[in-house]
Amino acid sequence: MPDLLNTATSGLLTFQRALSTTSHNIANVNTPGYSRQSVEIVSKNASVIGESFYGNGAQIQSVSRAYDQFLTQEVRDTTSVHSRLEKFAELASHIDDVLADPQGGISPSLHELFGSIQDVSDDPASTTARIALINTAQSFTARFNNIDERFEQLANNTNSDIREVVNEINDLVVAIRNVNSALNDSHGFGGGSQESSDLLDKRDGLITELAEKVEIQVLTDPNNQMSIFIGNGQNILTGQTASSLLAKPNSANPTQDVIVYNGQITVFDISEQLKGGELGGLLDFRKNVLGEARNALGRSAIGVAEAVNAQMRKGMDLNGNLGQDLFSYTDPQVISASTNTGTATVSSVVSDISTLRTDDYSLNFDGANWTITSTSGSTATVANGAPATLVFEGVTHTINGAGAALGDSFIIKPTLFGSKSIEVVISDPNLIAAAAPIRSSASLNNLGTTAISPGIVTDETNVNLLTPVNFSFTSATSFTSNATVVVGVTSYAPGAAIPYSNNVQVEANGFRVNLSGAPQAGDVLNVQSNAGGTGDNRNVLALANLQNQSIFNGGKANFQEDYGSLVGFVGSQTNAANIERDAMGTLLKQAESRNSSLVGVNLDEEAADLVRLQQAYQAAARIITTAQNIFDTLIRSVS
Amino acid sequence: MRISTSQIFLQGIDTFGEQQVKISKLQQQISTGNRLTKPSDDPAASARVLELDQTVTQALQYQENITLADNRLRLEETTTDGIENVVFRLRELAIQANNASLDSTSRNAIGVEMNERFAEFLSLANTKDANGDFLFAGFQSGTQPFAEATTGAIRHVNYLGDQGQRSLQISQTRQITVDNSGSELFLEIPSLTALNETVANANTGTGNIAPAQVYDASTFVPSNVTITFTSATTYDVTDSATPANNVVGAVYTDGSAIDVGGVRTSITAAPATGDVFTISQGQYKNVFETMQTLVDTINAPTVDQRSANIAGFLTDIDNFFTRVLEVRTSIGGRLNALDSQKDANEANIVVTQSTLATLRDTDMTAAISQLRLEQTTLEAAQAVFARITSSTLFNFLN
Repeated sequence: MPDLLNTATSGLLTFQRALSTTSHNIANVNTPGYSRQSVEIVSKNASVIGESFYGNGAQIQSVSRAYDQFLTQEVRDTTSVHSRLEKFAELASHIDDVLADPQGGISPSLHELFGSIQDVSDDPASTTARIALINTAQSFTARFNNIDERFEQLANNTNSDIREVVNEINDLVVAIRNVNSALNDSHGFGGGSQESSDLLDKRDGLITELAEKVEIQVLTDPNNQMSIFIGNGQNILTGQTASSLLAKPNSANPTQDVIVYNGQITVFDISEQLKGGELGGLLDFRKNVLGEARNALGRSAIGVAEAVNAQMRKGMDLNGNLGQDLFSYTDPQVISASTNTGTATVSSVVSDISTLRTDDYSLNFDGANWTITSTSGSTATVANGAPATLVFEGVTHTINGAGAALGDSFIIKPTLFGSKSIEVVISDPNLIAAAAPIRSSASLNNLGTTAISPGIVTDETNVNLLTPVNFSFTSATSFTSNATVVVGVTSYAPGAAIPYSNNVQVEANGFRVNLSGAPQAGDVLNVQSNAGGTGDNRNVLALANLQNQSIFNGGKANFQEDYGSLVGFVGSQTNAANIERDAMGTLLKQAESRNSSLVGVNLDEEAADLVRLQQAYQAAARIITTAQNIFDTLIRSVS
Repeated sequence: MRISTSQIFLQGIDTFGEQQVKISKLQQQISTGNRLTKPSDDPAASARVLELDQTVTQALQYQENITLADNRLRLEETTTDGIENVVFRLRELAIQANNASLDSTSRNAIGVEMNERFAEFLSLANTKDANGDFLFAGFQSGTQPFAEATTGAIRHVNYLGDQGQRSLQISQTRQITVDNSGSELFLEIPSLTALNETVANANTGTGNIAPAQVYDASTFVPSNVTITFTSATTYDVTDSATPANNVVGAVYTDGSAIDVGGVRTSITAAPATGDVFTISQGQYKNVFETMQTLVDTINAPTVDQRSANIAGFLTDIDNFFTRVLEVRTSIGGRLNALDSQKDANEANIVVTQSTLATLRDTDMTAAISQLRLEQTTLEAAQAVFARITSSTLFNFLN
């Protein structure tokens, strides 16, 4: 016959353990990653007496945690996407802030610069206005430098963040491996097949943390050992063997780290394959926002510098000399890959603002030809030479190809340092080229009504530009000149008869004028150097008009629109990232809430369990009293 | 469905966070009055605001330019006014001097006033603007444009400026000229007695010819006069219209007057044998020459010469009046253009600013009522949170 006391004791023990699990649940109500545990109570095998079965009480079959593989994976995947977007949005908002600052942005100083140019046009001989122009030009370039400095800081921070995240990933992988091996040791502990719920929780928590850093794929084997893969299926953890990642400077571009996969068998650059998580967000931001914004800002700076310089060179300064550049900037950055074996060199200069893009380029040698490829995918090819010249998207690349070796490559960044390096190179106010270099006049001795237009400089590099030129009429329909004159496509030597018609356009010595009216023989029109023309503001008017000229993007955008498109780009990137992050945040909360509704502890539930188990425990204890009473009754009856 | 205890708390806390973000955003928009605090708030509007800002700044600059242009043109207008007055007086004096009954003392007195008026006229022609730039010097506004000079026996006024005109930008697409060159106003005056002097290109000496003048209109006939040096000290004169005026073997003295058929000039420095100087009919006579001839005429030896010269002066000075009138009309036209451009710019500024306001400024009514709404939601969420979290089964177990 079953032992009443034993049966009662089994109940007591069972309920005590069940109560301890409940109290474990209550104690962990606020523990992150904790899955509620429950006990499975089964009845003990019955004893057979005669033909009947008599129960032997209860026992605990297992303590298990609430767990659903699908829900866990959903949380993990959503976490990866969310933390990428969160990181991306956070970084993008830094740039957003830089450009938003009404005092710190480019726009106000651009307006000031052109305001000062207008002031010089109002009073071209005024030294005060000229000094003010140089000062506003300096604060204009300082603004570019400052913003780029903040971009550079952001680039450095992004780089160190990337290193940090890579270290965290490595640490997490090691921690997961350690849990793996702890689980392996405890597997089948005590002869059963149960895993420690708390260890499993810990591992799940670590894996979710890893998913926050980078997107991963997880595989669980029948022995409950976990393998983790990153990128396109590179295993970073297999059971108890961990690999690692390494952040190190790019061989082609030492300013940016690449991430190297340090596998058991292979070692290679995995940067392009890593997606999701904070690391994905950092890489995405660095490539698609920061790089792009810096290049766009650089292009704005180069555009202003080139356009203003070109106009300055077409003018004449207060000293009667041809104008000089107002701004300088560094030429495109050319980085020779550290793997190059040849001795070819490349130098690049910006040659056309209207076709200049914000791309970076790679230039590769295939043994016979050089091929340039932009980040947006356009390409061009030139045969090797010394030098070989390649004009591509606004940049002229001069390749000194002697000694080039197959596989040599260069990275070219035309606009990266434009904003960092732009500066004002004129400090003498007299050097502002406000005047046009030539002036024209009709001789007062003329008998006809001949007139000459003020003249436009077409080629300021012509060495004879400032040499006096005359157009002398020999009849009403013909004139000669002391210089070589081009009318339409016909060139006339000095002294040659040139046919005249009203409004004829003639070019000579790098300028172009219109001759008009009804001339008489003996009439003379003159063009000469404008030295002494201190009241002339024609060139500074042309400078001022650059503000409204569409010089960027194939003649579609002026300075303001070009900068505006950068602001729009950064704004919409940030805006989109914020919206996506919020949307993904909601999805993440839903996934967490679904998971939590399965695995989370509910105190009311536990309270009910507490009462239930307590009552059962009391009942079991009562059986012991009953057994004692039965025994007492028996003893009393025999004594 | 189950719900875990931590979920209940988290949900409440999340709601508070979201509401507080919205409230803080509204607070910023209301307190700055600016709807766009960052480009990401509305990327398209942010870029547009930059462009509109530029439009306003530029338009304000154009308004400033218009004020300066207006000042400069009004200065030119006042100056031409003064010039007109002087010329009126000279005209009166010329008519008075033409009176045959006038004795030489009175004529001399008129001559003295004429000289003074001439000096006044010259100083008006050398007027400076507010920046100290000469108004009628063309591009070379730092150089005094008109200077008296004497070449041999001839007194004349040299023009050191050029034919350039300054323009100012008064709208994105429009420039306006803010002066007239001295050449246009004073030099290019059509006259029947205008003379051109030419130094032949082949000349080898350093000889220089002074501006020729018609000193005696009564004997002047339009003609080509050629002075040919037969040696360093002698020259021949040929008058194409009046061969009677021809001279052979005249003796050259540096700077002395050479008179041919009512025309007077001087040759200076050292001409060489074979050097040729010509005087021919020209198109333009500068107004200073016209005046100089009048001043010189007061002492003319004959009545005929005097009255012919004064008649010539009156014709020439009327041509000058016509030019002054043309210039004044054009100044008036430009001042009108400035006014209407100023109005157009102003209208542009107002329209752009109102567009800017709708893009950039916070709609206070909407923002404040939105703030009330978000606050109410937050308070409700807080109240619900307090209620829900206070109820637990443990309260009922003793």
